[in-house]
Amino acid sequence: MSRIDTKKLTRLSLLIAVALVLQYVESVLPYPIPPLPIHIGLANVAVLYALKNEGRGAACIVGLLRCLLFSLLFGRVAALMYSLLGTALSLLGMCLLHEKRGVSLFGLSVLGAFLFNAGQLLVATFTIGTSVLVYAPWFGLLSIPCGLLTALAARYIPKL
Amino acid sequence: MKRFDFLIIAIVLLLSFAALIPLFRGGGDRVRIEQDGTILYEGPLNRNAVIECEGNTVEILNGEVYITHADCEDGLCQRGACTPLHPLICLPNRLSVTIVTEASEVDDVTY
Repeated sequence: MSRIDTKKLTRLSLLIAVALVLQYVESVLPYPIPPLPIHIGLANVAVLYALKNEGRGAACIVGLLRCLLFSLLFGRVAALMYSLLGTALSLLGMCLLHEKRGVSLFGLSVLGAFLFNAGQLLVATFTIGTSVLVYAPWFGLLSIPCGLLTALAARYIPKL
Repeated sequence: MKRFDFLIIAIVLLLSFAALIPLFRGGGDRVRIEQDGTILYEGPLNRNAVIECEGNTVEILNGEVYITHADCEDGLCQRGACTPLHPLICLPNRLSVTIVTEASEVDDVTY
């Protein structure tokens, strides 16, 4: 088995822990913009930070494990399929455009937020029906300020 | 913020506004209640009814539709009345209450 860098392992674990805490706090607070069932996505600050400072692989680990562990730890197993597809699409988009010329963390974050919401709506249309698509424009529009906010937070955190 | 960031934002804006277009259909005088993809009830808005679904109770009274009881933990679906722009959706119970204009193939479905 190849040698694992302990420092990197610790850093990633801390980031996952931070992401979990942020997500938990957001989940306890009421939705910021009722009646829309959407959060700001503070947990993504950790993912963006990982993307900027540790690279694509690290960001994917933080994102996917945060998703899985949150549902297991806090009893939201039913919501897992929504957030998993959302996270997967979001990470895919962000990793594809990462470090491309002309794209900064802000663009990545908005894209990530948009894809996350799109993924959730996609799963919802399969479980609930096309009536959830009423939310689509609002989710799309809100992914812009939320994405910019999380990117702003991630950008100014100094490297560990 | 670099140049393609603005492009990404522009595309997101465009897609969002495109998704707004179907909503301008507006209006609607029939209530449709679906659970797990199957239509449980569909009837005119002016007919009062109380529909018991698995985990929720939907009431149609005087032209307004509310979810009066839900066993889900967030209770989001119980906020507000159902409008064409605001369907009542109970995610944990996979329930959706919408206001529609056209009837589906059946004229009326009750359960």
